Amino acid sequence: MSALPELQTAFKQAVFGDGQTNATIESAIATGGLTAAEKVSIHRNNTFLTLTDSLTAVFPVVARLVGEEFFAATAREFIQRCPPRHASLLFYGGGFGDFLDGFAPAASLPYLGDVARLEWAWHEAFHAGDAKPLAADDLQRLAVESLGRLKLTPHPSARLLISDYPTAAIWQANQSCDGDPETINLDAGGCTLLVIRPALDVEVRILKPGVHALLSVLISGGDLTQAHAGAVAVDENFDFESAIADLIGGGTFTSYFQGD
Amino acid sequence: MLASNSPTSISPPPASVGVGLKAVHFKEIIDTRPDLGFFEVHTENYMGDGGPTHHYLEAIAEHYPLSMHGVGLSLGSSAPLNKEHLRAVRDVVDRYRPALVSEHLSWCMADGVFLNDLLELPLTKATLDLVTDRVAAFQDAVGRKVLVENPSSYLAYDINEISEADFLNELARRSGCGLLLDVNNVFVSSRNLDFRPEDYIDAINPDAVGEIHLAGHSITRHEGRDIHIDDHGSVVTDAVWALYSRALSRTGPVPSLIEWDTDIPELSVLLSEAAKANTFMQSGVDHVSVA
Repeated sequence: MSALPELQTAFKQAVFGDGQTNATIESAIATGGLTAAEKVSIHRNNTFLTLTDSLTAVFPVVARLVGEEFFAATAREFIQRCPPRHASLLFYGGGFGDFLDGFAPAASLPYLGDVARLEWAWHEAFHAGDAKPLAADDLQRLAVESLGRLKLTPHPSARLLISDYPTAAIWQANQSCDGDPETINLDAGGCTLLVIRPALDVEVRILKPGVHALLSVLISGGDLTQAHAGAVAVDENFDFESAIADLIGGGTFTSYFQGD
Repeated sequence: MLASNSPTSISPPPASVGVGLKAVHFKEIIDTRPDLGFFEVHTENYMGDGGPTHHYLEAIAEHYPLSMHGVGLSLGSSAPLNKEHLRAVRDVVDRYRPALVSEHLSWCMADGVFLNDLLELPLTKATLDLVTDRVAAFQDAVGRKVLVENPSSYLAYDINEISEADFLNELARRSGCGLLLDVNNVFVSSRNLDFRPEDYIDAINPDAVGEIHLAGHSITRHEGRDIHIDDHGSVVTDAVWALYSRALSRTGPVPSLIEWDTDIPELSVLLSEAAKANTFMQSGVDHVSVA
């Protein structure tokens, strides 16, 4: 029998590889009953079943869009290519959207990767840190001339997304199996989204492109002047005051501070 | 950080029965406050920063002792103990001050990859040294005694030098840890590896047992043979209740848990399993008091 590190590496390869055992495993496992390969396959089945269940729980809309059988085959491929590296499955699945973009059998559903990224943002927002949102009153006492250098800290759950497809509508229409299926026109165009959980419930909000640009600058650490410039660049009629009021009213920020 | 003036954890009474806490039951538990001794959670499910899972667990922890049962520390890995994961476990333990903290005699990480499965460890003098050191580091990190659970096994190794019960007893003696005796795992392993489960129960040092697990298992046909799978997806079988009774007669009343992790039923089903466990525990208490 080989040393423990070699045995554990051999098991990992047998589980995530093609299921074939190698000499290290064959010589280590006691004979009797099933063959060594059959015994290892019990563990292999468990790993793939439970990881597939975990992915199904995080990506229910992707699973619904492609059906159970296709999803299981897709998950199998993903698990082999990107096995979990963290011992808490809360952190497993972040690369699924990018994986789907390049997954040839799903090429006929070009929006699938965006749906997966939306579901991952939802999952991350669900488990993100809690923080009390900033209220409009908190900003009242600030001098007007200081506002341009103001920076706003986004809520820890805030995630922005851009899609070339009506991803929010696809996601919304597949939240339950009840009712008549809705027809979504893929030519309806893309969307810009904010996923956020100001309190207990995760919200998926469709933002106007200007608001998305504004928030994008703020999230990456820019001040209000820079954010305003970013917004006007994509929407020359951008209404700065109402956008900021809506974002603050929606619990998007947790604190403010003066930039340099 | 472990502060000596932290609120001390509440211990479940020795003769109490708990159930595994599942997110689908959060609201019903808070609304109905069932008569249970404690709830057990998988530590790894609470490694997020915040959100509803913590919100509900905090609400439940106000009324019940908790048991933190880890599935990811990989006590049997040859690689160095994952410091990042150990810190994450410590953070959850510090956050909730649970009454019990436990892990498994198994491994689940290799070369930085997580198998999401609890695999059998070769039972040798060398692996006993390895696991003893790792359990000591685990106990240092969380600042308390932990319990180590016997795994369910589907295979054994040629190299094995020590019986599993002796391995666990010696691990407890050397490291000061307690044992989490999973009687369903004993039964599942006994069927897959062909030994008498009663002998295993009798060989475990009863004084080291700090908790007992009860769960259902399934049987699948594999290449013409029955394989018992520890899937925690059904009621406890009569054979496992009999082993539980046998274990209790040796250990006396210890916290006992109904685990149910797949095909999760209504809370009432878990409560009725817990009531059944309680009956066994109470009859054991009566027996002890008569003796």
